Amino acid sequence: MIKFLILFLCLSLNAFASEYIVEKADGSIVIIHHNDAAAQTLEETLNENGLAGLPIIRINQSDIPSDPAERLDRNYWKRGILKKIEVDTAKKAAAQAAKQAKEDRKRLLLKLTPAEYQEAKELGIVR
Amino acid sequence: MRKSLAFSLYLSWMVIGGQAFADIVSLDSNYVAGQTDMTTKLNADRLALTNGVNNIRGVFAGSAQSSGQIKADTIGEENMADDANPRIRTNEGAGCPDKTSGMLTTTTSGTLLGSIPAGVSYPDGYRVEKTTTTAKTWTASKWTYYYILTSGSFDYQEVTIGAARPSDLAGSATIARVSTDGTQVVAVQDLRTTSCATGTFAGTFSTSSGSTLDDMLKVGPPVRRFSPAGRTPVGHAQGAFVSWDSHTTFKVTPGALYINGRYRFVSSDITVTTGTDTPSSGLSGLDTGTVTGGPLKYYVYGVADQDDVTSYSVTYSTNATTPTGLTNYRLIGSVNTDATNLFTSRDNVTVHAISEREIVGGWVHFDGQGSGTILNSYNVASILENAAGDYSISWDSDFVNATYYADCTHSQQGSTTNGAADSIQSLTAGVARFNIKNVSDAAVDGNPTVCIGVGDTRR
Repeated sequence: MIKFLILFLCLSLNAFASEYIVEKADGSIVIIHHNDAAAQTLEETLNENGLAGLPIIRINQSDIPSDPAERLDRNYWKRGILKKIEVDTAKKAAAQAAKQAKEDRKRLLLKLTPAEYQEAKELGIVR
Repeated sequence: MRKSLAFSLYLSWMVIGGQAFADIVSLDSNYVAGQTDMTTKLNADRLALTNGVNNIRGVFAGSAQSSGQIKADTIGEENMADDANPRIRTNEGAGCPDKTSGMLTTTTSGTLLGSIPAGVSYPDGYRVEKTTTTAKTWTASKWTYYYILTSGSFDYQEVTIGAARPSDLAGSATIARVSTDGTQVVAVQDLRTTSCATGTFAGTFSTSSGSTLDDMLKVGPPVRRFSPAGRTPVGHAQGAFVSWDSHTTFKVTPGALYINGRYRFVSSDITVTTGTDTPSSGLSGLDTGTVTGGPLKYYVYGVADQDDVTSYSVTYSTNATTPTGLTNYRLIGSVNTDATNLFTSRDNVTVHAISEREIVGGWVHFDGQGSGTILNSYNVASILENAAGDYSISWDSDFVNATYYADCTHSQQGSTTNGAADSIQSLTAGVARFNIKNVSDAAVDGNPTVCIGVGDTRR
């Protein structure tokens, strides 16, 4: 009985929306939550958001990483193989390297030590 | 002999039986020449004749007739004159006083000589039939009201054009108002009672002891409780939207209004200019003066000051409660002029209705931090997570244009600090795209994330 109740809750929780991922040319993905009761079709949503013609697959809500820590990698999500959404580790590493290089350059321009730069960030003097 | 006796008895029965209800006039005198009481006998017989004629129906005890000249159930409608015949009256629909068919004159071209057609009317319930047309030369540049009298004649009352309607003539049914210019009949306003099926709303009851339709239609402010005049005017108001039209005109759309006890309707747009009004003849416009001194708000009124019509006119005024020169009016909205005294499309209001732009066109509450679940929404087809803190709201029914109001806010991810920077990335009629950032200007997801759009939509 409890199993049926849990199953019912899981199925009915988001029964009014369907989830899709659209893969863009640069490998990044757009997640679409489409209201099943909407008069506007999924195709119309794709068209008015400039996504028509791109690869699209339907996913389950459970395929979307929902842990806040995982969400921090949102900009590196890609369509996966083992899981439908995976982190593009190469892209993430490149982005982090670029970000670190930018930080180092800013610190050098400001002529601050790493400790001073960190303090300046904490004080909101630099972002 | 036997046959002769039987025939005599039958004849006697016929004579006696035929007068069983008609022998109240009993002339029992047998006048004899030289009789001394001749005068008495003649007077007795005269009295009997007079009484009989004056009491032709006779005497009834319940349904039993004991005397009289007319036998019960013997008069057919074919014996009755048309003005008394119930079949004729029923067939002509004479269920109410002044019911009239025909008799309505027409406009003329180049002449004031017209004619009133034949017809049947029931002034005060009397049946009057005109079997031929009646020639009539109308007076130039006048409003002429004409009537059919119980006597069978037409009669007329003339007033200057635009003057109030005179009182109806006694013992008459009103037929029409004829409007002339210098040379011809330019308009005929039908004032006949052409059907007895119509009646006042006050005479239409929901049940024998229930509310009347009038009761139901004249109470309560529609839609809004308050308007510039204070409480929104009460009673039925449908349609009659105040709508911007051009810089020098505005429109009031078709509708129906209860105005100071009068029910009026209009079935096509009323275009209102900057000219002044003439409410008694149904001309819409400004109540007094000119459109000047802008920017100003003008209050728009539905007006029922023209008599004998079913429509309303429109007057606008700078006065929110008492426009100049009106008697029967109702505030229906407002329009605005700019500094150059031109009408603007900004903030036109209909007090008994709500514009689409006054209410929320769409909204959504979703979890942008977790699985993106839409927890609640209105008029949202899809949420698109483009990247971290980058969301597109695809409206189900699009806004009319891209110049609507939209906003998002959120609870910041990974922090107890709420309400960091949310900005619009792009806005089209169908999609509102937002960027959400934390206090360090980094794009983040938020839970909850809430977005709203307000403006003209077609739902």
